[in-house]
Amino acid sequence: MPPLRTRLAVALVSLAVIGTELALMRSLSLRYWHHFAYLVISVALLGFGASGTALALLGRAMGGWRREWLAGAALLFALAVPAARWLARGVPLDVQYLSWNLGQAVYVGLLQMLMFVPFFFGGAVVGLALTDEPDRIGGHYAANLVGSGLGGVAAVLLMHVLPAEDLFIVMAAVALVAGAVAMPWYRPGGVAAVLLAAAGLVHLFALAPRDPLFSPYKMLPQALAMPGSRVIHHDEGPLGRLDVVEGPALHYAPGLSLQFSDSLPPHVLLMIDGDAAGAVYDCTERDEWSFLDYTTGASAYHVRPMEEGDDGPPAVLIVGAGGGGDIGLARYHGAGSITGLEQNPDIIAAMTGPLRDRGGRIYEAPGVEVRQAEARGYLASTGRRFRVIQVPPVEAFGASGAGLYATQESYLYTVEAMEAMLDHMADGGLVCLTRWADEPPRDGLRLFDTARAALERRGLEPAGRLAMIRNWATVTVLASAEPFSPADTARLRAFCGPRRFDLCYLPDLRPGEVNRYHVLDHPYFAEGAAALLGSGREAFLAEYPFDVRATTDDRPFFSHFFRWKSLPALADQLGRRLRAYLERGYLLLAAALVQSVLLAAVLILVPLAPRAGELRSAPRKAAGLAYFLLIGLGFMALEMGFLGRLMLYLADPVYAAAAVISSFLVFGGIGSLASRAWPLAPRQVASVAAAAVVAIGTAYLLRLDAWLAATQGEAMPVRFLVAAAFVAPLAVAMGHLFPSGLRQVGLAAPAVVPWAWAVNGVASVIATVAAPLAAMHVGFARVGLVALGCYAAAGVLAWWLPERRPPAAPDSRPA
Amino acid sequence: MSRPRWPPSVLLVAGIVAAVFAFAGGCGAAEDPAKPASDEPAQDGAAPPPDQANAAAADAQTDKPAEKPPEGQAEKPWAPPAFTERRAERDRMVRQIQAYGLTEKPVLEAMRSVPRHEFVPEALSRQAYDDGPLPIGYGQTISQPYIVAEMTRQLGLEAGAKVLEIGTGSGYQAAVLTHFTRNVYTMEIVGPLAEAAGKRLRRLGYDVVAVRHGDGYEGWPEKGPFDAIIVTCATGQIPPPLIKQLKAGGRMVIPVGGPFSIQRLMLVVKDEAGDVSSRSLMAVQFVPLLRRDPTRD
Repeated sequence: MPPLRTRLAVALVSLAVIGTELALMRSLSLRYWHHFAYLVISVALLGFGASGTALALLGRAMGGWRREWLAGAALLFALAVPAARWLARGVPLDVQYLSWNLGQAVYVGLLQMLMFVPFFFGGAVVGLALTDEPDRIGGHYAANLVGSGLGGVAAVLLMHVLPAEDLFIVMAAVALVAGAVAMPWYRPGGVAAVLLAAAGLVHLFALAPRDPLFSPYKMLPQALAMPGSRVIHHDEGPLGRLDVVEGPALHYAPGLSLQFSDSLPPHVLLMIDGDAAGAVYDCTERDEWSFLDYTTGASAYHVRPMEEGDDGPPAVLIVGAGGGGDIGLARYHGAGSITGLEQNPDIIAAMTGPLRDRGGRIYEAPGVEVRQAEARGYLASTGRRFRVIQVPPVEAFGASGAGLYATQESYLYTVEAMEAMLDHMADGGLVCLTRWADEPPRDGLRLFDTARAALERRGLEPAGRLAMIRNWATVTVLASAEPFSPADTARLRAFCGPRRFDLCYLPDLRPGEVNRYHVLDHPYFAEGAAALLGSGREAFLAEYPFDVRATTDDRPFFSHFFRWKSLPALADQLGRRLRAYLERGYLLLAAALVQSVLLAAVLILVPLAPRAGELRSAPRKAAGLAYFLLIGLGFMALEMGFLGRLMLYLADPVYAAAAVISSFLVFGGIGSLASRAWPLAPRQVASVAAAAVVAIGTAYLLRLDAWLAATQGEAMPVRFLVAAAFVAPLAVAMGHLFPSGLRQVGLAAPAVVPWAWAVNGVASVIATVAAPLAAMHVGFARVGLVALGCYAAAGVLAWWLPERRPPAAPDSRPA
Repeated sequence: MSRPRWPPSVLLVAGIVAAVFAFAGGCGAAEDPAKPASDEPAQDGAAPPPDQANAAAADAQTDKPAEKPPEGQAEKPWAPPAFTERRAERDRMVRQIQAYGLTEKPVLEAMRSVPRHEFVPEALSRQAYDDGPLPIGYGQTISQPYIVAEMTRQLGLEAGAKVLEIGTGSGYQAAVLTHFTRNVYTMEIVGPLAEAAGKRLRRLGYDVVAVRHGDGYEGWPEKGPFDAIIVTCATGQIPPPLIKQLKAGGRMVIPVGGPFSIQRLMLVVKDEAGDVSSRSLMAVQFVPLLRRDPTRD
C-alpha cells in the first residue's frame, strides 16, 4: 500500500483515539461527575497494550492479509465507538451505591470493558502499521504522533461547537474514513465492507439518544421531574454543559437562615453538567437582594462595613460570579467596584444574552465587571487590592459530603490560593470563604486549617485573624491580614445572633457562645478550631476520624477526607450508617485500581503464557522486564503528575487532559524517533535519556510552579502552548527509553520483546490509576519523585540489558 | 498460493455488524412486565408532558382535599384499619428497623400495622418489605422502612396533633401517621400521584387523611398552623412558608442535602417565642435505586 494512505489512516485513527478519550471524559463526567478521567486514560492504554499482545500472538497468522486487517481494525474501531456508547448507557452503574454495595464494582469493570473495545481496535491499527513495514516505521510513527496531537486540539475545539455526545459521531466517522483510506479497493468486498460499516455506524448511533445520560442523583433530572419545569436555555462547551431551568416548583436559595420568612424573588436555576451551579434571581432593585443577607457569606460585609476609603470606593472580588447572587449581595452592601470572576464563558454568554433581563442585568450593573477567568490566574495577573474577596461554595449542595469530589483537584482551597488572596487585601480587607457544612465537620475544619496555614506562611499570627461561623447548611471562614478588633467581633455577633448563626471561632469567643442554634451532638466546630490553633494541633489532626489537614497545591484534594485507619472505629461507632461517610469518588478510584491490575494481567499478560517457554531461555530477561516495568510506571506517573499540576495552570480537567495527553504523545514520539539518531549503542542512549529525564524532572519538581506562575494570567491558547512547551523536553527525553531498550532487547533476546511490550503496557495501565490515588495520600511531588526514581533505576538497568549478538536481528517490533 | 475470496477483516466486520444488529433488535423488543396497581396513576409513570404538567401545577390550589370533618366539628372516634395479610413480612421488616437501633414501641407497632405492599407498584409487591426504598413512578420513591419509622419517631406526635406531610408519594407515610393522630394533611406536587394516593388511602380505610395536590414549598396555610411537619423529599433548603406554618412548640423533620443518596435528617423546632432552632439528627443514606423503575416506559 502506498505509505501515504497508511500514514493518513494511522493519523486519522490516532486522532480519533484521542478524541474518543476526551469525549468519554466529558460524557462520563455528565453522567457520573468527573471520577472517570483517569480511568479513561487507563482503559485506553489497556486497549493499546492488549492489541500489542494480540498482534504478537496473531501476527504470523495474518499472512499476507495485514493490510486488510489494518483497514478492518479501523472499521471495527469506528463501529465499536457507537456500540460501546450504546451499551454503556445500559450499564446500571450507580456511583452513589458503591459504598452500599461493592458489587457495583462489577459494573465499573463492565464499563471498563466496553470502553476498552474501541481502544483495542484503535491500538491494533497503529500496531499493524508499525509492524507491517519496518522500513517505513519512522513515517508511520510520525503520522501516529501528528494524529494524536491533532486529536487533543481538535476535540477541545469541537467541544465549543458540538455537544460531547456528538463528538463520538465525529470520531467514529473519522475512523470510518481511516478504514476507507486503508482498505485495498481492488479486493472484492472492500467497498462492501466500508459501506456495511457506514450503515452499521448510522444504525448504532440511532440506537441511543444523542442526549447525555445523567445520574438520577444530579439536580437536573430531579428538577425536570417537577411539574411544569423546563429547560429554557442550553449551551455546551469544554467546561461543561449549561442548562437553565425554570419551573413553578423550583425554589433555590440553599443555606438561608431559618429566621428568613419572606418570599424569594422569582428565579431560574443554573446547572452545570446537571448539577446546581446557582440561581439567577430577578432582582431589579438593590434592596431586593436583602434575602442573601441571611446567608453566612454576608458576614464579611457586616464585620467591616463597606465605607469609602482613601483609595476610592471599596472593591470586592467575587470568585464564581455564576448567576450573580453574590454580586447582588455586594451591591446591597454598597460595594463601589465589584469584579466577578466566571470561568465558564457559556455562563457569561447566557447572563449577558438570553438571561440578561432575568437576572436584573446584574452583570451590567454600575461598578460591576465580570471577567472570564479563574481565581488563581486572575490573582497572579492583577495588582488590585480588595476589601472583600468572596468565595462562595462552588459545588452543588451536599456534593462534598457525599464524596463526589473526593478525587478532584481543587486549587481554589489550598494554602497557596489563600496566600494569594491575602496578598490582594486592601486595608481592613477580608477573605470570606464559604463551604457547605457537613457533619462531623470536614469541609469547615479543613478550610479553617488552610486559612491558618496561609496566615502563618505570611508571618501573621492566625489566632487573632480568623473567625468561623456556621448555620444548618454552610460554614464560613473569615481571614484578615489585620487582627480582628473587639468592634469587629461585636459586629459579627450582632450579625449572627438575629439570624441564629452559630459562632465557631472568634479571637474573643466566650464559653457558652457555641452550638446554640443548630445544635450538634457535640461542639465539633468550636473544639476543632481551638485545637487547630493550639499546641495540640498535630495530635488533634492525627486523632480526628477524618483527614482535615490544610490542603496545598501539592495535595489539592480538598474534598478527600477519608482515612483507612479510621475505618474500624467508624464502623464500630456508626454501624450501618458508616456507608454515608464513605467517599464515592475515592472508592471508585480504588476499585478501578484493583480492576486495572486484574484486567491488565488478563488481557495483556495471560495471553502470552503460551510463549513463556521462549522467555525462560532468554538471557538477562529479569533486567529487561524490570527495565520496561520501570519506564512504564515512570512514564505514566509523570504524565499523571503533570496532568494534576496543569489543572491548576489550565484551570480545567479537559483542557489539561488535552494538553498533557497530546503533548506527551507527540513529544514522546519525537523522542522515540530521535532515539535512533544518536551514534551510541541503544543502551547508552537509554542511560543518557534516563539521566536527562531525572535532571529535567528534578528541575520541574523544584521550579515548575514558579515558572508557570509567570504566565498564569495569560489567555487559554497561550497557556495551552506554554504547557506543551514545558512538557516537550521532558517527554522527548522520556520517549527515548522505550525504543532504545526495545532495540537493545530485540537485537539480543527477541523472545523478551513481546513480554517487554506487555509488562510495559501493564505498568502503564496500573500507574495511570495508581498515580492519582497515591497523590491523594502523599502529594504530587512525592509521586513525581517515585517516577524519577523509576527512571533513575531504569537508566542503571539499561546497562544490564541483553548484550547485542551478531548477526543483527530484524526490526525490534514483535512479530 | 491462492488466497480466500473474502479477506478476514471484511468477514469480521460483517459478522460483528450482523451480531450487533441482531442484539439491538432483541433488546428493543424487550417488554416491561410491570403493571400498575388498580389505584396507581393511569399513566405509565412517565413524566407528564409539559402542557399537562403546567395545567396540573396551575390546578394545584383548586384541588379539593379528601373527605375531612370540618374544623371545629366533633370528630368521630378514629381507629386505623387493621390488616393481617403478609403480617409475617411486616414482623421481619420491624426487626430490620430495630437493628438500626429504633426501639419505640408505638412507632414499631404502626410500622407493623400498615400494609406497605398496598403502597408499592404491583410489580414490586414482593420487595415491599425489603430494607430499601422502591420506585413509585414519576421519579419518586416510597422511602426505606427505617427512614419512615425514624422520621415518624422524631415528630414526637401526640394524639390529636395536627401534622402536615410534604411529599405524599404513595401515601404510606401518611398512613403510618394516622396511627398517632387523625389530623393528617399531606401534599403532593405530582398530580397523578396525589390522586392515586388519595384513592388508595380511602380504599384502605385511611380516610382521615386529607390529600392535596400542590407545591409543598408553600405548605397548606389554610389548615395551619401545624404541631408537626414532616418533609419526605430531600431539599436544599428549609422552606420559609413551612416554618411559618409551624406552631409555637412545633417540630419539623426534614431531610436536607443535595439530590444525592446521602442526606442529613434535621429537626427544626419553633419555641414559644417563635424563634427557630434546629438539630442535626443523623446522616442517612437513602438506598439508591438500582432497579429500573417499573412504571416507566
